[in-house]
Amino acid sequence: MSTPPEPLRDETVSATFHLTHACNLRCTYCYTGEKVGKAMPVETAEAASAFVMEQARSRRARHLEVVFFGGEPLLKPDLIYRICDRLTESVAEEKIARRLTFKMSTNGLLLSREVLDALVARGVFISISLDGDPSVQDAQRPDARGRGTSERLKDVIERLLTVNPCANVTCVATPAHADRLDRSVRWLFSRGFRYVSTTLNYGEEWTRADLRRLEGAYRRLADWYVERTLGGEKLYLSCFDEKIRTRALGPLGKSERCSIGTKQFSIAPSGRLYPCVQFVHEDDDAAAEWVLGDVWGGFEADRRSALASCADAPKDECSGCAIDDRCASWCACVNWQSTGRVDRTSPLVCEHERILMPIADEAANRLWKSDDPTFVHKHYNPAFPVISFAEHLVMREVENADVRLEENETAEPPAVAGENGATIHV
Amino acid sequence: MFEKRPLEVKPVARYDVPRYPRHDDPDPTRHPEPVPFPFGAKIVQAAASLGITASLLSGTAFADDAATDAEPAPPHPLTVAQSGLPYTPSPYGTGVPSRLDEKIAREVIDDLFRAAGYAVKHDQRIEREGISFVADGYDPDNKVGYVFASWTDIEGDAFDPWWARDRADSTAPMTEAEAGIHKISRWLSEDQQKALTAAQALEDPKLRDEQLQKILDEFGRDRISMTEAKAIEAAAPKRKEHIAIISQFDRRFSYQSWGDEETQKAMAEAQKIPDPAKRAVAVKAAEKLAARTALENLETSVREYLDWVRRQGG
Repeated sequence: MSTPPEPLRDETVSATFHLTHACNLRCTYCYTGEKVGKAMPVETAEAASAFVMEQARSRRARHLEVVFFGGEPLLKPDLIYRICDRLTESVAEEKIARRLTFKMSTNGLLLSREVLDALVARGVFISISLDGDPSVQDAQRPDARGRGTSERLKDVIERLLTVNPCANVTCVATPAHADRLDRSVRWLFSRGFRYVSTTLNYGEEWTRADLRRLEGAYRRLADWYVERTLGGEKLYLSCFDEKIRTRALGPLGKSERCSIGTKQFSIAPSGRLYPCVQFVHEDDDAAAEWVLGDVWGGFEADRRSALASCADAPKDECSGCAIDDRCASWCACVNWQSTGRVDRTSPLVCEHERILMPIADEAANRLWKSDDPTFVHKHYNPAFPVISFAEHLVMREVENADVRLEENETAEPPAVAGENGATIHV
Repeated sequence: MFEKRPLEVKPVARYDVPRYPRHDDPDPTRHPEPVPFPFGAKIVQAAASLGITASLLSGTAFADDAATDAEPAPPHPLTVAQSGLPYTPSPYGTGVPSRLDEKIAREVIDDLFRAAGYAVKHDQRIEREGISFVADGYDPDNKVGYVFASWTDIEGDAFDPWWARDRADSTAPMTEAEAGIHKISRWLSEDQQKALTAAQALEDPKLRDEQLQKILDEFGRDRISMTEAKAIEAAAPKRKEHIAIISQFDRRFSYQSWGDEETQKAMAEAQKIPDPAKRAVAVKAAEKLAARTALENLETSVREYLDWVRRQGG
C-alpha cells in the first residue's frame, strides 16, 4: 500500500528566473550590470524548472511562485512560454493542491498585443516598471540609444490595463528626481494604474538634502492619498500601505520574510543560484562571493545557511529602537545594495524609514478618524483584495457593455431589400 | 551644516503610538459597529439592476460570512463581546487614548441605576459556582449590578499584555501558574510580592507551582476574568441576575485629550493662562470637554442596558 503524501505546508517558494542580461533600456539606476547578450540556454531553463519543482517538493510548499526577470525578460518570450508550460504540466502531474503563480517584471516596450495575449493565457501577472511623469521616465529610463521611452509606452499602458485593470507598476525614486515622486504617482494614477509600488534607488548616494526633498514629495503624496481614499478610490500605494500594514496586520514575522536565499532565490542565465535579484549583477567572478550553488548540483547548504543566519541576526545598531518591528531594515538586499553588507542596517534605509513611517501613520490616523470605510476594509478585511479585483473586473464589463450599447444605438440600422428591389432601413 | 552630515543609523527613542487599530485590537470592520463594504457607486447601480443590492450593501457578509450568518445582533450595548476586553496594554505608553476617570464613571452609572429604581450597594462580593469577584455596584434584591472594569478589576484572560506574549515565544517553557504570575507580577501588592519571592526560592517544582497558584488565586479573588464575565452573562437568563461588565478600555468610552477642534481650542486657551491654579482648573475643564462624548456614550449604553434588563423582568 502506498503511503499518502505528507501534507503541504503553508509556505511559498519563490524562484526568479533571470532569462537574459540583455536589455533594450539603459536605466540610470539599474543594478543588473552590463547589458551583455548572455541569455539562459534552453537546457539550463529546463534544468532550472526541474530544480524549482524539487525545491517546492522538498519544502512541501503549498505555493510555488516563479518570477521572470532580466535584463528585460521579454527579449526571450519563447523561453517564458516554455518554462510556464513545463511547470504547469509538472504541477498538474503531481495531483496535489500546490498553487503555481507566474509573475514578470518588464519595462513594457516589447509588450505587443500578441505577447500580452500569450502571457495572459498562461496566467502571468505583469508588473511594469515606469517612473511616472514622462520627463522623469525619459530622464531615468532611456533606451539603448539614449532616447526617451515615455511616448512609446502610452499604448502599452492602455493595452495592459485593459487586460488587467489591477496591473502593478513600479516607480523608482532617485536623488535627482526625489521631489517629483508625488507628481509621478499622480501621473500613473491618471493613466489608470491603481496598484503602484514605489522604491528608492538604494545603490545611489543620497544626501540629507535629497531626503528632505523626498520627504516633501511624500507629504504631498500623503495628502493626495488621503483625499483619494476619502473619495472612495481603492488604490494601493506601497510606500504608505506597506507601512500601515505593519501595524494593522502586524509586523512581518520571520516566517513571512523572504529569508534570503532560502524561500526566495534567483537563477542567473548561467544556472547559478543567488540569494536575490540584487546579487546576480553580471554573474561573473565579482559576484562569485554570493553564489549559493547551481541548478544541477543544488544549493551549497552551509553557504546558504550561513548567509541566512548572518542576514537574520539582530542588529546591534538598531537595539532599543521604538519602531524596529515595523522597519524595513530586515531586508538584507537593500542593506547590501547601499552598504555592501547584509548584516548591517543601511543608514539610508534607517533615515528613510524615520521619514516615511510618521507620514504613513499620520495619513492612516486621518483616515481612521474620518471613519473611512475604504481604509477600514482595505487594511482589516482579508477579503478586500479579492473583492476589489472582482469589482474592477465587473466594472470593466459594465463599462464595455455601456460602450457596446452606445455603439449599437448610434449605428446605422440594417438595410433589407424590400419589395420591388427597394432598400428599406429597419 | 546639518545637511552635510552623513546619513546614520539612529534608533528612535520615542514614537507616538498611532491611533488607528493594531492587528490585535477588536476587528474594526465589526467593532463598535459593522462597516459596510465600500462598493463603488457604479457597482451598486449594476447590482441594483440585478436585484442584489441589499446583500452587496451590507458588505459585512464579505468580511466574515460564517460569523455574520451565526451571530445575532447583541441585545444591548454592554455585552462582554462589545466590551473591548481582553485588553492589550500599549508597550509605548504614548498616544494611547484617555480613559474615563473611574470615580466619575461610577458616579454616572450609580445615578442611572438609581434613576431606574435600583438600590445600588458598592463593592459587593459575587460568588457563584467557581466564579468570584467584587461588583462595583449591586442591588441584591433585584440582582442587578455592574463592574466598571479598570486595571484594578481585571485578571487572567481579561487582558493580554505584550510582555507575556513575548515571553510565551521564548524557548523556556513555563507552567500555567508561572505564565499567570508573569502576566500580573507588576500589579502584586507588597505582601504578594514577598510571597512570590518566597515561592520562587522553593526548590521543589511542585510545591513552587502550588504556592504560585495560591498567589494567583488570591490576586484574582476580587477581580474578574473574561471567563467569569462570559459565565455570568450566559447564566443571566436562568439565574435572573444581570451584572454588566463595563470596561474602561472600551473604545466607545475612550477619547483623545487633543480630540476635536473645540477641545483643542479650549486646551490651547487654557495653556495660555499665566496663573498655575487657574490654568489647572481650565485644563481640567478642557479635559472634561474632551471626555464629553465618551461620557455621553457611557450614559446611553447604561440606559439601554437597564431598559433591556427591565424587559427581561429584572
